[in-house]
Amino acid sequence: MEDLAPNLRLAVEVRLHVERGNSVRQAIREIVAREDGDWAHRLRQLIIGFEIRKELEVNGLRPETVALFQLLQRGWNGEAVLDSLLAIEEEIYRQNEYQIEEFAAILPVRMLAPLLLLQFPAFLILILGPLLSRFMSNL
Amino acid sequence: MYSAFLLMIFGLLLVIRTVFLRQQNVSISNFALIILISTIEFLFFQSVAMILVLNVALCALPFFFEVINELQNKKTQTRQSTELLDYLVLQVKAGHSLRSTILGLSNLSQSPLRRSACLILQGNLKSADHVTAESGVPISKECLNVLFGIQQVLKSEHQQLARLLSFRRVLHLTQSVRQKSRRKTSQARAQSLLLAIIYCALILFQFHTGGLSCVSGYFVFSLTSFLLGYWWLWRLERSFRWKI
Repeated sequence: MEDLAPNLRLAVEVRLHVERGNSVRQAIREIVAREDGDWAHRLRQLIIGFEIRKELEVNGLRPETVALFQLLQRGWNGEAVLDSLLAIEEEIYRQNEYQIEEFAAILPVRMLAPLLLLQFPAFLILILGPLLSRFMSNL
Repeated sequence: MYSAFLLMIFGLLLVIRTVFLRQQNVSISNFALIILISTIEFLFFQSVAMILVLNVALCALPFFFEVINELQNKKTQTRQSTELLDYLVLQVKAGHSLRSTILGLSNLSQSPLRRSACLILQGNLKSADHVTAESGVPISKECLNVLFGIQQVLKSEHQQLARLLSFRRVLHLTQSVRQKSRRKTSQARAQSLLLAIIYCALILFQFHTGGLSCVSGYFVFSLTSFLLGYWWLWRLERSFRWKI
């Protein structure tokens, strides 16, 4: 959870490129060249979609990511998107905060499994083991 | 008794080797401290297992301090790099040029950033190893990112303030996400740390009272179970994945 979410990083990096005077096309191409893994594959698909003017595939994507892709598509076609990028960036950041809170809320419940199944028995064995051993030998 | 004495001597040699070989300057006080600890071990803990545990703990101590020191350095460098960026933004806003501000900074005696600032100005910052070799201290990845970012802004001829502000915003965003995630999971981390401390104390207590020997099946089973649980907890804390 250390780094920015990929969608937020994309929004931020495209914005930085646009602020430097580069086009959205140039920015996306440079970012995709640097990325790897599933996210890079998805971005490559996105570029192909932009180039052949195919409709965006939004299956399994969160609404804010879909909104970002739609905005990038507009930028790819030459529209000015800097202000909207800033707004989307704020929105994605808020959604990311919510994701962190959601994870933190469920973490204590998930932690109960290793505590009850492994660590609690480990304590019990350590405390009761020698006592039981002595008891058995005295019988 | 003899085995305890031999073990103590062996432990003493191991501790001296571990502690002294990691330090360039061997001081008499360190040596005296280890002699003192070993004497206490021999006088008060005559159980072989107890001496073994204490010696292992003593050997692990320098590594523990090294890790703590590294974490502290990383924290300090992150803070200093953010302060450097804030300082540059303030100076540029006040009407100074970025280049002259960095030059002025390199003349100040705040040493950790001085060499780095010089390197940025000269445009010679190429890799982490290079910066470490030039500045004499290992530079963290985060600090390096900031320095490279400043170098890029410096290379651009126009709109340096806007770029600095933009870069600082990204940095704040990243730091904010990290801080939030750490704050939210800190309770879970504290809980698992407390468990580990209690478990270690319990092991020491059992060793001391002689209720448990090193080769005891109970001890091996309990330790394996505890370590597996700890590993599971560690995995859970790091199981967060961004939903995109």
